[in-house]
Amino acid sequence: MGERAIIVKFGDEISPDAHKMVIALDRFLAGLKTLFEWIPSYASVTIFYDPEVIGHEEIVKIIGQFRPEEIEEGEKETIEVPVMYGSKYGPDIEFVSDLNKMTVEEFIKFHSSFIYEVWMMGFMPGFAYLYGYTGSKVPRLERPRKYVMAGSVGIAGNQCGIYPFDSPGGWRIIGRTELKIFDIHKNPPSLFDLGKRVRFIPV
Amino acid sequence: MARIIVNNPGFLSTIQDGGRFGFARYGLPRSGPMDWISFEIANLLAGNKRNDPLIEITGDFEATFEGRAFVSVVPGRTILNGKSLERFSAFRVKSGDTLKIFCDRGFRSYLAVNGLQIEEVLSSKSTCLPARFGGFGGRKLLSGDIIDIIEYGNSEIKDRTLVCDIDRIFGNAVRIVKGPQWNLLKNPQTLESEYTISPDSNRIGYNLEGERLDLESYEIVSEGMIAGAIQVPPDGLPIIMMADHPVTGGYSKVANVIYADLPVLGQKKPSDRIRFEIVDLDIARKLYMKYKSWIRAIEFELCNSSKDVYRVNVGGKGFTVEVKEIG
Repeated sequence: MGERAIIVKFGDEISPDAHKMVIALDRFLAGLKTLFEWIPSYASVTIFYDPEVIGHEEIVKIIGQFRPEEIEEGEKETIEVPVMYGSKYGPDIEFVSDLNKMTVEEFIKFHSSFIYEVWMMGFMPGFAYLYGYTGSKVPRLERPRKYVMAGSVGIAGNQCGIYPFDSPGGWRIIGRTELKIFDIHKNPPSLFDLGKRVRFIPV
Repeated sequence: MARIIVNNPGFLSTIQDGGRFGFARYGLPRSGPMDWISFEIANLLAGNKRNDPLIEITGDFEATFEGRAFVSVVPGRTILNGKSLERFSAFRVKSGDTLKIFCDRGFRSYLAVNGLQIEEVLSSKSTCLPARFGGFGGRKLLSGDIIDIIEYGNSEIKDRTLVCDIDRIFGNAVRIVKGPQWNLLKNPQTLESEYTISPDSNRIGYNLEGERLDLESYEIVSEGMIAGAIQVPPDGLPIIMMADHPVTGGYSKVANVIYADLPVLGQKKPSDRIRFEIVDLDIARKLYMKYKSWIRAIEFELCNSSKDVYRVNVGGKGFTVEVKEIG
């Protein structure tokens, strides 16, 4: 991608296999002393570099040394996220429950039964795309809300996510957490990171 | 401590340094200047390091100083106490001096102040507008805002003017290289037609108006992006990612503006026109090096203008030699 980035792709689909490869490359790069930055995503890792500091060929050479089978999976930290489901915190919970042919109570049990995993960060600082939900795919709002409160838990398709800031948003909102998702006074500032696991706890 | 008091912040004035590195994986935009060329020259003129924090101004601006300071403005027209100054100049100001900046060419000016005091947040002094932190309280500057400056004392640097030509960035030619989804583009020649910057453009991205691009598929599995990436949503009108862009995106990226030409965009305002020119990746790399070494030459000139410094070549290697009188 231009003279300042290289995209390493593992296919054209969101899949557990592609995610595994992304995690492995992320770990591989983290274990090196690199002169560049990278963004892991669903099925690719984008490497950003300053051509004055490191050449394109050198990066290609480093990627060539990547042996996914040699990378250990390692422990994955699980973050517990307390969620106030429904009512004013989750205005779309009836819609999403109906879609799954469940009562709201059944849906809360269902949604909080999964262990989710961060497959990508992005959209806004600290926003994690969480995979694990196996219910009916949830359509986005036809018109995004102008204002979604920080901490709101949303669903779109089969992904879940938590809004780190008050912002506009098109995901269906089912609840809210009081956890601080993004905190500039912490390093790292983000509660979530690639490969971290998440469990929603109804409160 | 000296201070700068903002009287008129214009459309949008923010504190920016070279950018926030190392946090992209958490979804943080890099931020930094929209026009890195003017930004770096302004800093160097004011005796700062190339990537020090300064004030990025959009449109016009006015401020008053308290105490002594050493400042420079690039590329806007500068008026100090009613008197017009030469372009590319750095000059001393004192208590009560009023500085007015007009964007008579381009759209953004850089006001560099020697010793501007800005708190670092997450390894950078840049304002992150999308997440409202960094720079000056995470927000744009408003009338009445006051920023501290380390008093400019034993004036080692005298008032000075740089002979410099950056006319290129006011032109409308924007060079691009083919992007990761270039092959999805069904009417590639259309990309080289004229596009107009739409009014809803900002530091996050520039929306373009003009001929629609026809793609085999507009949506891709989201992947990382860089500033200058040209995304095409389903309506076919390209969006160029700028300094505060989201780090990942799910629209096809047909091309990428080369780093050397990002300042051309930074100096464009809504309703300005641009024309893309496709160049080879190899040329983009050469241009990157060319403009970086051009800035280094300016850095060398400005850092050593007050010293007796020579560049000498010995056995094919370059050396910097400073000549001092032996007391």
